[in-house]
Amino acid sequence: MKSNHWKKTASILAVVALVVGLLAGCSGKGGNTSSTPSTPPSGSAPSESVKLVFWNNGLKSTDDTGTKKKDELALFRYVKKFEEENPGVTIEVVDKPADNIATLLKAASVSKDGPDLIGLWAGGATNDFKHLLVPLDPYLTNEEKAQYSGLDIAKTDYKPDGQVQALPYNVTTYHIFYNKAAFKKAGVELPTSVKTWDEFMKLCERLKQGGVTPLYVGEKEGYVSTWAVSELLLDEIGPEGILKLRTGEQKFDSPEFKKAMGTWKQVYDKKYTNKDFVTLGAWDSMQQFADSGAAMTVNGSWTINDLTTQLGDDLGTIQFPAISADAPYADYLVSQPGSNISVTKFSKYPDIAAKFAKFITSGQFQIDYYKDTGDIPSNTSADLSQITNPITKQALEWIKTSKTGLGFDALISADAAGEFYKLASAVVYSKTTVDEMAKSIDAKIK
Amino acid sequence: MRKNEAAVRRPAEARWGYVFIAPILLFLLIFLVFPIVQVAYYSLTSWDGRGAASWVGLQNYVELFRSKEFWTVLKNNLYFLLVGVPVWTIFPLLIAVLLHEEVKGWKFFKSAFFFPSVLSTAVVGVLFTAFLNYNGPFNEILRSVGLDALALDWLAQGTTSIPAIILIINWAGFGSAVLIYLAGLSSVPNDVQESAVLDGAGWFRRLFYITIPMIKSVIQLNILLNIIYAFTSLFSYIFVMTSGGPGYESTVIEYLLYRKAFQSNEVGSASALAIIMFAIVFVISRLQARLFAASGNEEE
Repeated sequence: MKSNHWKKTASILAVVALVVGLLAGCSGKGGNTSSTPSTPPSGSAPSESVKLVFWNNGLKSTDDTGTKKKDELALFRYVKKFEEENPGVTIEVVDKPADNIATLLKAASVSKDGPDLIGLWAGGATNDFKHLLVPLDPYLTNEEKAQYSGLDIAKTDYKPDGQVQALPYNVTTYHIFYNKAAFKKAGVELPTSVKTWDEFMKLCERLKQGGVTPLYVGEKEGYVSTWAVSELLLDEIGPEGILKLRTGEQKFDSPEFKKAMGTWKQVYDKKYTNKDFVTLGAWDSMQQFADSGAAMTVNGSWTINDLTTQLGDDLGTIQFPAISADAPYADYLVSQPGSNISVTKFSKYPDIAAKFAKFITSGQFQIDYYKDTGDIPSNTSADLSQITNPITKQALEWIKTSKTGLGFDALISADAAGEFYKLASAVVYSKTTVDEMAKSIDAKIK
Repeated sequence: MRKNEAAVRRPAEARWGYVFIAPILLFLLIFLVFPIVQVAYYSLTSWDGRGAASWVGLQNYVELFRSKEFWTVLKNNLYFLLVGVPVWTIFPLLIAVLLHEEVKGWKFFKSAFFFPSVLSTAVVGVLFTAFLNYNGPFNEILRSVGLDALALDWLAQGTTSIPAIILIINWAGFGSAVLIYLAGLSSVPNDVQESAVLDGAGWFRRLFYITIPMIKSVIQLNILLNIIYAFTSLFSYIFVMTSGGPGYESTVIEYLLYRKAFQSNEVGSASALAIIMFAIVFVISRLQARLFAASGNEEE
């Protein structure tokens, strides 16, 4: 009888232990519980070793062509250099996919356990997380701030007097790239004199008549339409109008936007593109451009190196044509930082993290990084004489000599930009109308 | 005396029973019931996934029912339900019956049909995206036999991409469904089939009057799994193959839910979608179960 009693007691204890263990397992957060998104302590670097986690998006960390080994890339060379100059500090670079990094950061903000540093697309993709980012103003002199081109896009809500929440790696421009061999094959002169949309359409028609596909593009993600419409819309409403899109003062459901989108749609309606444009991604279309035999493609300055590798001296570029010669802002072009680095409020060492952010966006780094990617430096202290690629040189010249504005998708919320990306392919494929698209995007502007 | 002892022991045993199932009950409460209740709560709030949620009542549901995109994606899900579920149910059944009858090469086919089941959906999606590409192998085959007019960009519109995805899912999930059917078929007594053969019943007559009635519960299970699949397991195919596009042409509820929750920060609205999805699957499953019960199945 007593034995039975002990058996029962032991059983009860076992069950209780199991339940308690289970509960303990559920409630334990694991990981770094001290990393909270509250305001981090400031001060000098601690004496113990410091490890900073850097979620990388936007900086090249592998060379797909196999030309350079990982440790030969500027990113890793400069990480190593920083570690050597700052004994006890290690930087762990963790690559995060562009289309998922925001989701991962949101998840991190819920679990209150995120990276020390994060690379994000500039503009809305960064501004959406302003509550998680450490203002960098205390770490920058006015002189240093002045060195970064387009720094306003990295400030809170893009206000000139806003706090600096990121430092840009580069400046981007949108391009129409062309293949000189394809023009020769079609018997059409190179497009160097094309300035307006009408001239561009006539050029496309001549190429089509010459048996060459005028444009090779991939609209699966809607990016190509975004770049093209950004340029055409900037011609219509100017940089101030683009800024007003963010707050809803300037509507997408407006004659200007509809004209810009409708103008771009013409290249699809007139069948000037490859047939599989709706299922082809922008990156894939860039990689297939040389083999396609098509005359032109639309992409950004970040592809200059890849396209140069593919086409060599056959590669040429022109600015996106103005929507019309008499458009109020016909002489503007889109130019803005493409991606930037921020220090997060998860970091226990914001001072060291900010030091690294400055280091990895320094003029010296950016000119070395240009050699990996062809990216245009945003830091004006970079030695631009080292830029030898004629296409990059041309893009630099555009920036120096033109008036510039921002692309609309960098400013509006990620939600509204996502709606544009989603519906762009449907519009150019005539599955929905520009009117419906404009109304849907406006509904997402908050 | 024995009877009394048993009567006394039963409540005590029952108490111990509860004690022993307590951990798993607690586990289910924490990881299943609580999240469902939480999602139901968030569906009545405006919440961006951070900070505090504010109570908005049924506003998320009203906005969803008023939005064009919701009805488009629901229509797409119903397409998967009405076309996909019969395809995913009938084809494996026919193959399973043939394998059960040990047609020539049945051992090879049994392994071959199961092979795609071990591939991840992402791999299958990438594979078929390349296969159905405008310049891909499938269209090349069509062109090579003079069917140029049929060489389409198959994933470029919902009218072709959704049927294509249904067939791809059929290919990928064939093996598992066949295995479930084979397990059911193994319980059908051979003598019944043999008697039917002696009585002169043909293959189709045996299929419809003997085999199918005798494995009705297994078919019901497969239909139920396929209904759930049509609403809850399409995400990876859509994500990899079409991104739901162009526009919302191939977007399904799961994908819209993902976009709302993780791209648009509309966690409240995404929760409402999840609850709607739950309700649809629940109602359809119950209707299907009642339908089977009404046709003489004792499961219900």
